[in-house]
Amino acid sequence: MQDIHLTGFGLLSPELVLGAVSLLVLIMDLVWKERGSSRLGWISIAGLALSSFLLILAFDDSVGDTAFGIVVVDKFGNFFKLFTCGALAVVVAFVMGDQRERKDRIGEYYFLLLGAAMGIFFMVGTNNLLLLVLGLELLSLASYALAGFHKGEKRSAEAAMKYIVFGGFSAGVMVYGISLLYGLTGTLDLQVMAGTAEGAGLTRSLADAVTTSPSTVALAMVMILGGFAFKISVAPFHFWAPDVYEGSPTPVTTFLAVASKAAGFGALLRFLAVLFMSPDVAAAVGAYGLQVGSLIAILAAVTMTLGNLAAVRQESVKRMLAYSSIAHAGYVLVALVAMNGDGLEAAMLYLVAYYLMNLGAFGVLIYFHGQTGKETYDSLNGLGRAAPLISVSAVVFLISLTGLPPTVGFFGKLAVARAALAAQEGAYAWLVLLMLLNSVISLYYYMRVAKHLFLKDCEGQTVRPQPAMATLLVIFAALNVIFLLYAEPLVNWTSASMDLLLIGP
Amino acid sequence: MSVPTEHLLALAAILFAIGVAGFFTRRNLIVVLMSIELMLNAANLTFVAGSRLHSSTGAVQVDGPIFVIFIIAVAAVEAAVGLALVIALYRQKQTVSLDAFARLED
Amino acid sequence: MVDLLFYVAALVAVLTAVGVVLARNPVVSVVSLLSCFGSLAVIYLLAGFQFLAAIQILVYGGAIMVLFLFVVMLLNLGGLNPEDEDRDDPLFHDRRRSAGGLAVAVALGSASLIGILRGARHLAEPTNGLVPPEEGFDALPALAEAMFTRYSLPFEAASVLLLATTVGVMVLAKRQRSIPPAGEERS
Repeated sequence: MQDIHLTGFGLLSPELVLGAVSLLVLIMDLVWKERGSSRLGWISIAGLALSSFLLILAFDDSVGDTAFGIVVVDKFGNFFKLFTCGALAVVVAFVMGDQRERKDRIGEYYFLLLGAAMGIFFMVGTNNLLLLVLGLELLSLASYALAGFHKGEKRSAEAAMKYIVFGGFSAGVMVYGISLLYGLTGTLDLQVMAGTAEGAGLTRSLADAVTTSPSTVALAMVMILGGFAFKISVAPFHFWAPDVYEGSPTPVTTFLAVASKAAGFGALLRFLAVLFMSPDVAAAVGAYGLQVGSLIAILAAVTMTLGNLAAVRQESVKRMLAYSSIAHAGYVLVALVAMNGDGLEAAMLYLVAYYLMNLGAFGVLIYFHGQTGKETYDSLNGLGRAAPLISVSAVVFLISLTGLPPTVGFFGKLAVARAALAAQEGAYAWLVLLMLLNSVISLYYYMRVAKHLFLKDCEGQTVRPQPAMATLLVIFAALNVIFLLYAEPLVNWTSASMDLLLIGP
Repeated sequence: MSVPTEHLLALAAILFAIGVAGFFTRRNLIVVLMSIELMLNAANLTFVAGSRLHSSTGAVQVDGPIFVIFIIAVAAVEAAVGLALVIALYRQKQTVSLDAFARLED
Repeated sequence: MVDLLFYVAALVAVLTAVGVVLARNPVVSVVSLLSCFGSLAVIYLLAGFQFLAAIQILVYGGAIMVLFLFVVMLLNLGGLNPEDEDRDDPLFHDRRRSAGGLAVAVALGSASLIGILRGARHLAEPTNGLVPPEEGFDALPALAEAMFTRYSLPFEAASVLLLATTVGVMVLAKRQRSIPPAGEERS
């Protein structure tokens, strides 16, 4: 018993580091009072770096051990945890570089970000639906508070309110779906459900349930997917996203659009993979998975079209990016329709590309918003001359978001399209076509930003230099290009991360 | 005579539907939060019924009841955050009606 | 006797749940929800989960619902303003949205009901949802053991959740000390 617990602690060291650092931040906030904001930011970044370091060290040894019998330490979870650490570190840097943020007494901000990171770690690292729900709730709760962090501003308070109402509803729907699934199978462990592992006590595999009560299984699946759809802002659970993204402080928007969304995808991918895609899974369940795939195809089509059409109409750049992030969730779903390992790999590649381009785009928004105090397209006029380096980076991010070469966004879209075309002997070609059409639509509103930056003049636009933020953004822009030319490590990393997921224990 | 497990499940389904109806029809933020609690309770009842379905006298399927305990914690947490926000919003607008915040244009 | 108790509790649960949704006065909603949780506790007790019944009463009734009641009283929401009152009436305000919501609710509810009842036909023998009094069904030891062995990590995760919530509630509910910089234009 003792041994199990000690190794458990070893396997959980990245989580424990995050927990310790979050407490340290909370305590030092009280000790340093007014003096410590940027110091707390650096502590958080150091904690995230240490956690990533431990994750990288453990990457090759992550072979599906379970800590405390419930957290699976595998490469897939490791991938998403590293992703989270990377995204969170940048978000913390954005908070520190956000000229509109208070500079004192914001230890809670960092604490909540780190708490959310722990939630993400739990939800992407478990096959147990109970821990998944707890992790999801931890992430949600921290996000609610973060969205309302500037509650004195009307929009921020409203954002938090909308987020919590829709979040609570989707949590209720998801938990009810899980309870139905539990009623059908008698277990909360995805592997036991899938029939790829032995369960304790009286359980029934999903294969049985699919044949005896298909309608209840379908209902439970739809409800659980609804819960995930909320986290990744996929139609019809996307209503909250534009208002919440617009009303939250921009670093929080970045967090919601990148880290929180990737976490939702991480948990969804694991859920689908363990339940439906393992080669040991019963034939009935595998066939059922393909039907889930066609449901996902419809969601993907609706989501990307809705997101893009709405993004065209926006006058606020932040709101445009919110809708564009809905559309991008649709693109990731396109990869999933394949319901096989290639699809998962493409989705993960796209998420990495999304990380690089969207963090950059939001960073530019924070940079310019801090300078001009506005978020409209017109406020960008003439900035191309005043801040050429940042503006050029902005264009790189926008090209990447559109999915054109020479950027990593092109690579991501290519991977997604290839996975979807290979699925079901080309049955999803229409979806790929729709994705191309959507990319063309998105070209219009992304390039509108470039037009305002470079082609519209505005006298007297000046920019105070912010060397740290500028360096970060230029590095990100460079990465967007470099990873297209030198994509091999990226591909190796994602395909290595897939190894364990599809093979039974 | 005995009560079949389906009746527990059916009761839960009815409660869930009532919760969903309340969520969509009511505009009072506090009642909306209560409707969410109702939905979570429907899930709890389903977990209990599911556990009965898979238990025998000697071996209790405990995953469901354990989930119930955690859901109660989650419900408490959601209520606390939701109500804290209600208070913050009430300070701004002197109302708890969702209509005061409806701005779901696209 | 046990059966009768179940059906009475079920009836009370449904009626009070409807009361939560229909009541105009939030205080009535809170009290209805409290009674609903009470009757659910009775059902948990009949199903043999005494511990769940106890925490349902203690935590749900004693803590969560009192929190709701406290906020309703604190904000003095005996009823909404007269002009809000009609708009908050679930059956009259904005019929289109209400109808849509009711349609979703009925669809979800009937889908689960049909699924449950059709699934039941496949069961080899009728299952008993409640524990007959003579049967020595005691879930508590198994529950306690699972909680502190298999589920010890979620237990810790829940403590992180509570800590994060404490901080989050503090962030949301404390009064703003200073106005954020540069009042900005809102679209």
